[in-house]
Amino acid sequence: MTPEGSRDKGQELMMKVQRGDESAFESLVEIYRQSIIQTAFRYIGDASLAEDLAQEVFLRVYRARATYKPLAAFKTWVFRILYNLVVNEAHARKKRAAWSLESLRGKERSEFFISDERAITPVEAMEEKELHRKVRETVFNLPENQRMALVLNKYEDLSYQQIAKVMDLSVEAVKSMLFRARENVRNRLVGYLKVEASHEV
Amino acid sequence: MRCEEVKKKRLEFLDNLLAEAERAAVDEHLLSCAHCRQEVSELRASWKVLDDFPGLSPSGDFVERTMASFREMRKKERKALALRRGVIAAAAGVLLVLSVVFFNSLGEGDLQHSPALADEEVIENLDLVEDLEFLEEFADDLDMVMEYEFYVALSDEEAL
Repeated sequence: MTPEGSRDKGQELMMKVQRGDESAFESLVEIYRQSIIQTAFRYIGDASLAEDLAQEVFLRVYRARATYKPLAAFKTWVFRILYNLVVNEAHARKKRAAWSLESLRGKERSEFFISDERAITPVEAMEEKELHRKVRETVFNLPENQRMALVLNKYEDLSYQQIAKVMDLSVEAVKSMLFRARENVRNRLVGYLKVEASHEV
Repeated sequence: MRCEEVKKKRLEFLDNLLAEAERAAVDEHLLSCAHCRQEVSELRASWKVLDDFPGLSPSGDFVERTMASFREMRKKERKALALRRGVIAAAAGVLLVLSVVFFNSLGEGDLQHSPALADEEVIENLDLVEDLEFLEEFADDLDMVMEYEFYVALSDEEAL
């Protein structure tokens, strides 16, 4: 168990939730909503569903308050809940193929909330749009486990050990998964790469 | 270090997680191996391109909607808890009533039990009772006979 003095913000708030402090729960929602929604979105590609899933994650966090123990970083625990939820959702939707790329094609940039807006030329805009599309396609085409491991590692900076806890795998299995994920990404994006001519040491 | 060994350590090399000595060994190999160098460069560049995955800012009312769902959930939890407590209280009440009835029925039986048993004992042991009455009568007669024999014996001795 994480010693009291070294607990992260989420763990501290969760201990308060455990003691009946409902305002602490609202604080958890405010602090962690960005991470959870982003991760859910990058995994499933649907903005509206990502928010629905994130909301369900928070309700499950609250329901688990009685048995919560600060054994791992709060983020790791919350992502574990998200992972279980999206895996179940993915299995349910696989039969309906509701997460096919066709559901994303034709969606304009405005349909996604872009975090950093800047002034760009029409050519750049077109290239950027094409690149965004290609990157989304690359990530969504990864096998589910590779996709989740990559999203957690790349966008949430989770270590191999933390990802292993989220996905209930060994660290070696996570490394193997990330190795294959990055190979797949390289193969798909090789045409878009500006590779450095000389090796940086 | 050979290409196969470098390939195994590539992930941690790219994530700067190798120990100093191992990192140096990989670097040395990459300086002399164009194929591995190309692969590592492409992996590094493609990892960078993933930065262009558009993010998603939460909608403005996400916290509000989540807290509304949360309050709804709490309301249902409290109702379910109240219902559970009500059921337990009702069950306890029924148990109490049943216990009182049961123990009351046991008490009434005890009061009537002895006379009924006494009657039964008389009926079961009727022969014995009859023998006892006979013996009581016999005992009286026996006294008389014993007295008679005594006097007979006494008179015989006197006759002698």
